[in-house]
Amino acid sequence: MEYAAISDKGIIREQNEDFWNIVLDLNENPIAFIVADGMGGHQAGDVASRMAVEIISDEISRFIESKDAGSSLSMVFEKAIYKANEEIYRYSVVFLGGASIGTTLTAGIIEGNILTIAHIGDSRFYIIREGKIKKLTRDHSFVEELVEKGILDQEEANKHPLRNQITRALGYEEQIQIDFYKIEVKKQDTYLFCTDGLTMKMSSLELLSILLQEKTLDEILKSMVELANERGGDDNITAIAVRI
Amino acid sequence: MTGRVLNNRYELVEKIGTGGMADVYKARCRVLKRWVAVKILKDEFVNDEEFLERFEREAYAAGSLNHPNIVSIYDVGREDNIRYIVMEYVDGITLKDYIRQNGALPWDEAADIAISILSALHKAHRHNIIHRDIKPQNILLTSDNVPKVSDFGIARASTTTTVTRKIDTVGSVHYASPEQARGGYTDEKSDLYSVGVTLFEMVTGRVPFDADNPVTVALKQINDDPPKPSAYVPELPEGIDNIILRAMKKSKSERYDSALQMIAELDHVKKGELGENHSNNWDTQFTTRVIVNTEEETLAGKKDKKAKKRDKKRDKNRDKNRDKKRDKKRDKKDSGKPKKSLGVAVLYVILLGVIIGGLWLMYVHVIGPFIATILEPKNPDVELKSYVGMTLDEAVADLTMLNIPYEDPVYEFHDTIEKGVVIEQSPAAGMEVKTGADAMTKVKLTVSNGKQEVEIPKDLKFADFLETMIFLRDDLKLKPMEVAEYSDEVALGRVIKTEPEMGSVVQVGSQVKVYKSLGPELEFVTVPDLTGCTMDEAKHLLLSVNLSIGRIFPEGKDGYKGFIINQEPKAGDTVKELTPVNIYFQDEQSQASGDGGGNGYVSVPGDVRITEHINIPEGGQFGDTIFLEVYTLFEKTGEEVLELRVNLKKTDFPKSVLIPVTPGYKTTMKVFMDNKLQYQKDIFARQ
Repeated sequence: MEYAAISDKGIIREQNEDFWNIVLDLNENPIAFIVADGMGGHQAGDVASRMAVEIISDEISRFIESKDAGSSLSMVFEKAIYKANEEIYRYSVVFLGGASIGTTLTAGIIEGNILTIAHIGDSRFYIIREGKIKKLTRDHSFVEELVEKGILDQEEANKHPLRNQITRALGYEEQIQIDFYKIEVKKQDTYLFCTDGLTMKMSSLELLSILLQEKTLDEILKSMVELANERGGDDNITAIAVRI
Repeated sequence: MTGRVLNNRYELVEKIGTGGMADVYKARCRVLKRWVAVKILKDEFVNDEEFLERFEREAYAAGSLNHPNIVSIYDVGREDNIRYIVMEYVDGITLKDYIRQNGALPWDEAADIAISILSALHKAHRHNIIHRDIKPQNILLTSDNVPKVSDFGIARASTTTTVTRKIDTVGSVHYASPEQARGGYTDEKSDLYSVGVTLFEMVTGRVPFDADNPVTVALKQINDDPPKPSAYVPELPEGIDNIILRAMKKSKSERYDSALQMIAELDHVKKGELGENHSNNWDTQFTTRVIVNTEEETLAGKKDKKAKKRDKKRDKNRDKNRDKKRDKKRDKKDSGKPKKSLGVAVLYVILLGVIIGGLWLMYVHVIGPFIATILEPKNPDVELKSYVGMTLDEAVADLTMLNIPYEDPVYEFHDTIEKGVVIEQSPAAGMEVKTGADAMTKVKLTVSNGKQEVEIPKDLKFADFLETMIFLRDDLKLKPMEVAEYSDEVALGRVIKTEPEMGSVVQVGSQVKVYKSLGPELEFVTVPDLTGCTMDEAKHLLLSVNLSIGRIFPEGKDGYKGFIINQEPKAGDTVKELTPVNIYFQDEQSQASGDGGGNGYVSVPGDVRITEHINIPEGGQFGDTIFLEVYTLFEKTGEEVLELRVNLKKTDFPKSVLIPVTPGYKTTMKVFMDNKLQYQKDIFARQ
């Protein structure tokens, strides 16, 4: 299994509010992948995304170390996300005087040959299998939902004034609804977890053509970020790529 | 942020609102000594250069809009990373809250509010500024119920940002036109759609399209026909139903063409429904209204709340009992500016002249010669006497008797000669003139119209002082005199009152005292003791005696927790109002350390208090509530003072207590819990 990650603040923003992590098991194999794009302002913009990544990573690592027989990795994963929601929400109420921060979250965990994806907000998970790319996650964004209803096409959505408005965010409200997806892990699959800094700048077909190049994942991610920055680079860009 | 002074000018006093893009503070402008609202952009946007540029540009553009129904923008500024807009402070509530408090509004009140919003939009649209986010949350109602539209241009600026945000669940989508929901091209008609939705909400107390998520609302804006407002409020006039539904047409081409057109329709329905003069063609009403509006704009003294309230009342009156009489009256009232009434007068005079002249011509050329031929007496020449000093009636009687033709008299204002008395004649007295049919010339008489009178406009209060002086001098030909006076109510540099009072009719050339505001009179006040107070308490104390918050030390912190240990000027000093008072918080670095026992040194200026944190001693056995007493023993005087006696929950610990200390002397703090001495601590304050 090959994997790589990249996070770039873009060329406009002063601060990177995206966070990511890859959790390794005891044999140093990656089992969990997390990307998060925080929102909430200059002083707190990175709080939610960092908290989400840390809390979820910690819970998974603790489980791996303790090998709690009564639970499964995917259960721990799910609980960890609820816990992150609660803690971020509480943090903003106590320290920021009310709900004001939140984060997107697109995370995956491999258990046996099943990859479980958890998703909130407008970061994305793509699966590349047999030369085709598929966006598995559904953006929780105003424009995406209009695309689904056939009101907008993708191009219109990317230009819509409300394109940056998401309908769900981790830690923003006390209750959170998480989308879960499960897929079977197959040889030769490539998975891409990324924030909207990347997908606002290139179409899925462009992503596919770069991912299919004969390069290491590291090089591929670098060229993706370069291209996004060439096209404005007005947002933080984060991506994790995994090749089975 | 509260307590901070931006660019040494805007003193942030209180947060009064928060929105998706910015927080709004009530602030005091130290230069103009007036309240303002300062809108501070949320910090997630401060690094977004493209957005900031747009934001400033839109703010400046909106700043050029001067209209009684638009919240004025005074200034756009930045300090460090803070970007802000300074706006007129409106003491009132949003239309949203007003609807929340009152439920559905009477339809005629709603129509009035809609007309005000539309009149603001009319002005903006003429300047090619589209609001794009008209909603009750953006309409403020002053305490006099004058609607004011705020946030022009902000919506547009916000579309450039790349900052990810959680969408508002109760926000703009409810008022967004279908084209906005699609992200398509927006124009003036998009604003009219939003006014339609706002009017819908005013008359029914609910929005036309609602759902538990914004996407569904947007879909409804795009696809669904709105319900008829009268479905919720059966007594609603059909006309209002129709106006709302037309404004909310999906297709822009089916909506009103302009804000003015929608105003006209609302006016029309109001007149029709309120049983008014139906014979009045609405087109002429409409024209009248437009003229009135432009006058208000140029004359209203820009920010005259009271005048607007009156205008509004007047409008109401007018609409309720409209008839020709009242109309005339109103025109008179409105004619604070002589140009218009003079225009009307001139028109009448010309008309009259034409009629009389016509009659005269007929007489001279047709009837006169005819009579002359029949009677054939030779018309004698007459020596013209002096008519100057006679009344017009006497003069005319004499001229008629002598069969001397005369022109229509010319009226002129005259300072000394009474009204109706002849001032001048032509030809002069002593000249011989022919009479009757032989007459070569007609006698011209100039008659005094008495002293010229003008009305001091009623809406000068709050108007700009200089503009008022120039207006009174040049337009009304009065002699304005400046009188300066303090005023709590009227801002610096604006008009408080006139003498004779506004609305009086005075003779041209007479003197009018114009009272100019020096702003609030600054009295001497005693500085309160702030030591031991929290930030909020201190703020409250200072504002209650009208002092300003000065610099806060240690500087550069976000929030100030704990208690104030010193201040400048000192408590008890006498200073002028609005003097800034600097505040010193305990510097955490120099705070005494150690929780139980031990000696701590603090460095503090003067006689002060320092904060001590009381902890439950480790291993202490206590119930859920602890009876806490704190005593201090002063080495200097030997006196022991009870500082605190309170029942506390365990969770209330650590408890902060302020301990008074005298530099150079030891103070011992004794902590009792449940009547038992737990520990004591010696505190030394260095000088």
